[in-house]
Amino acid sequence: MTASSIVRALSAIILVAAFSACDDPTDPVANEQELITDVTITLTPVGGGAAIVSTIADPDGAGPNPPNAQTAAIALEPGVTYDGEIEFLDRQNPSAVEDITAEVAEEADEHRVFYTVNGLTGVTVPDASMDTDSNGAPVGLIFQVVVDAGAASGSGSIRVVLSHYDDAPKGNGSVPSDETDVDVTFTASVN
Amino acid sequence: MMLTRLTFRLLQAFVITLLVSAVPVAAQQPWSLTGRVVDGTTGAPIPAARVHWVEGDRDVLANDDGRFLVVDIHHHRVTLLVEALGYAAQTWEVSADMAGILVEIPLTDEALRLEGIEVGVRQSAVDLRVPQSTSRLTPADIVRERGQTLGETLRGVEGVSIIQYGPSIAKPVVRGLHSQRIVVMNDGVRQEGQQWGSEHAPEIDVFDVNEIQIIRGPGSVLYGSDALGGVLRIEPAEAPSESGFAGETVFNAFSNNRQYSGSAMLEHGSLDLPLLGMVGGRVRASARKSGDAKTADYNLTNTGFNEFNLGMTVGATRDWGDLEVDYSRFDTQIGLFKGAHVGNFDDLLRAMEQGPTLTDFAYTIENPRQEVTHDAVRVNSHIHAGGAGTLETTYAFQLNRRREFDSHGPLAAQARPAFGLDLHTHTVESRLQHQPIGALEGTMGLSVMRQGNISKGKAFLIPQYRLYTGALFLSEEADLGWATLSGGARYELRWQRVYEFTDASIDVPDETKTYDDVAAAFGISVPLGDFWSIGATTGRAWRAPNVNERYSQGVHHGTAQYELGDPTLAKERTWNVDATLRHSGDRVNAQLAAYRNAISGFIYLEPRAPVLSIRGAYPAFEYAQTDAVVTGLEVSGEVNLLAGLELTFSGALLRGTDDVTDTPLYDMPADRGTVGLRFNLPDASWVSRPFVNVGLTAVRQQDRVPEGTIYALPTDGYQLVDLEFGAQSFDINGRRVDIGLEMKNLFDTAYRDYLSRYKLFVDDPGRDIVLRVRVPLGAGF
Repeated sequence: MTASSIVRALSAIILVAAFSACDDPTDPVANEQELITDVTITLTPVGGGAAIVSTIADPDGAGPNPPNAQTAAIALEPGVTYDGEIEFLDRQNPSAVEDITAEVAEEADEHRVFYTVNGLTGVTVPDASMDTDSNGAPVGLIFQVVVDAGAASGSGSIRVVLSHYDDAPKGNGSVPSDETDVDVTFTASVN
Repeated sequence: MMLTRLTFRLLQAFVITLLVSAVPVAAQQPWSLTGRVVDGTTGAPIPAARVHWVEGDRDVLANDDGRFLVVDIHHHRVTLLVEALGYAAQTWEVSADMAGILVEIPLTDEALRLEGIEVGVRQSAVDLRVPQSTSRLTPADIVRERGQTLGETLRGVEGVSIIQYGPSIAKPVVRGLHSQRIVVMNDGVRQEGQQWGSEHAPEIDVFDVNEIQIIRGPGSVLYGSDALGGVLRIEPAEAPSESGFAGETVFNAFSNNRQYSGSAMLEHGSLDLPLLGMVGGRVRASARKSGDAKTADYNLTNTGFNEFNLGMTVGATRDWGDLEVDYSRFDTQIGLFKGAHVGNFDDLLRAMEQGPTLTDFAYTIENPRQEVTHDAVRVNSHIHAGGAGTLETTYAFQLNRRREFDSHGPLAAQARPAFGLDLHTHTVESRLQHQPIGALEGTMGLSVMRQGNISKGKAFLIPQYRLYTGALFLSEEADLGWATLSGGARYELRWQRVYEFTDASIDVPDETKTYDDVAAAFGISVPLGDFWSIGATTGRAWRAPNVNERYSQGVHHGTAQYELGDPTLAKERTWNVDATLRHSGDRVNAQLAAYRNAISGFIYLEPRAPVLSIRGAYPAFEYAQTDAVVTGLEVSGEVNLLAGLELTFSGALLRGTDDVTDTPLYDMPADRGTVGLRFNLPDASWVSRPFVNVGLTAVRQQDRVPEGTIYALPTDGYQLVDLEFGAQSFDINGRRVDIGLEMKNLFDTAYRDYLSRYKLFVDDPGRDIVLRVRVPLGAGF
């Protein structure tokens, strides 16, 4: 093996090594993780009246800090039915807020919002009041909160769970999936 | 240019060989035998050994590299008498089936004579002179496990267990320690992937592995400060130096996950290239494709994988020494079991209760999945440095690209990886193996590494970093007759810079930290008569905290656990004591080892208050330090019961304890034992060395688990039976073919291993029928 052939061999290696020159970790990383940071429910009395709008925000999404307290109290009146709407936003970048609700609506047959009322008797969120996907199963982006005329006053909560079905089919949507995108609990009361 | 031209030539030759090899070769053709005479203890070549071919009454001498060539053999079976000064003469029987294979003939010291072992039969792993507890998987062992992951190949070795994510990801655990505490040396180069992750398996093409040495306990002096738990030394075959073409094609089929895999290799020992002169070269391509694995009762959805690997080696031997250049590429796509990929803690409980969703078998790989490539270029040279000894220098560049795709949250952007990491590593190591000074033989060396980690995904996993390490080491051994003493020390410095990452929730500052310390080891091996020896080692080793232990922050999908790093973690230190009793007799080979590894400042995940987020509650763990002690017993051996009947056994007991709280450590392997019976059947005209092997594996329940976390729930014990039929070779129309048929988990037992990462949700895979076919090329070619 001549000296020149060693040089050639080495230069081939150096060439390969040069491809690796782009290993500089000083370039900043862009965090583009999509997540839901804000959950807002809007409850409008069917017979008219001021809507209740309450938001639970968790600016760090799945980060270690707990979500903020909800922005407004949810005080329900006996005998009133409320038209409900739910909105999911990604506010990680305040200048480019993303509406995740639209994405959920687009993939309606892979999603379902569950509303679980705790501690409030006579308050229900009927499946029948919800919007449905292409298979007729409830989605829950639109819903109703029905407060019986005889509902006892007291305080409790409404738990909101957004289930994402992708490995097991959603079917009739009666069972939550094992992929939860949102799980927050709003406190609520009946006057 | 040079490399591309060579590649082209090799590929051209390869295609021609494949075409020609389709023509069967006549049966009685003369054949050549190539071999290498080595020191059975050190593996070093024995130059000028005399090889006498008894039937042909011919003599050849081994060259400087211990290699020899016997040409024009007309007998099917030949006897070789191998002699070298200072070694006991050995008689070896070799058949024509070994043509095209480099037959390695280890010689032992006259004083420590072992009975001759036949080539091709499982060779004894018992070496009476080594103080530390080691095991070796010979080429014959590895051929029998071809087509599996590296981890699976190591499963039967005592003291080694496997962290498993189905059949596609298997991570070796040595004496209860894994990931960043184990160093994988691939062809003399530290494998640098993202080895800290338990679902990040070693990126090794098993088809390219010739031999594996397992060093249990710290190997820090020679292999780096992080070799705290052990070392896996993976040795591919060397560049060929015999003239002429040779090669092999391998095909495997697995019934369980309907995997098929294959490999084609071609080598030439003396290509006359322009400018370079005579070189030896080898190319290999291999591929594996599998679909969903199946437990006894159901399919494991999305557990298939696709792997495609390439390897090229060129080497030249000259009077000044030798030079070898390798390139290898490992490329895999792995599906992760969907049912274990849960959201928050409630989801996990629901997934555990519901059990698996029943799905049809499929080869499709969907999210969650991993895409990993590992490219490596390696240049290795040995230079004879006259009276100083031999200088070995290795440079390597590795690029590890890892992409992990999530099926959660991000609704529209699942085609983009959730996490992406590019790890660039350059390593240079020089070792001087000095000439013996009296009884003293040894190696001194210098090792440098530069590493850069780039984050490319959508989300934060670990920060970007730059790492430099530098080390000086010395390892010496003296054979004093009544004992062999060994000792060594290594000083290592690790400089680590972490780059800023700020986000609504994550805050990693720019930070530089330096760790340095000394690792040292001492060993003694004392022969007790001709057939017994006792060895003991003790050593001090250390490990700097890894970037993930200091800065990881986020949900670990698949386990739904939230992991938080601690930037203030200090070094881990261990004090290891290990004693091994060995026996190497006429009919019994066995070793028994006991050890105690005390780790102060052991870094582990400690449960803490749950993390609440908009997605619900996550059980949370924080990296913390404690004092841990791992003790254990290991036994292995083989007994020739009768002519043609061989018994093999192995067993391992292990106890890991948090010394501060006196509670069991998480993630420690369960006690296990294996027994095998091998019937060697008589040869026939069409078959050579047929055998039947029955194996039983028994694993005790793992009830030594820490309390307070469901991840550590105890698992039941289980027993598995394996059955294997095979032969060294078959003669099919005058062409040599190696065929093996194996039934793993013969009775389709449903079980869950404690180290299976899917154990909370599903069983481990059930029965697997494996067919292996290998066709060597080149015999009489």
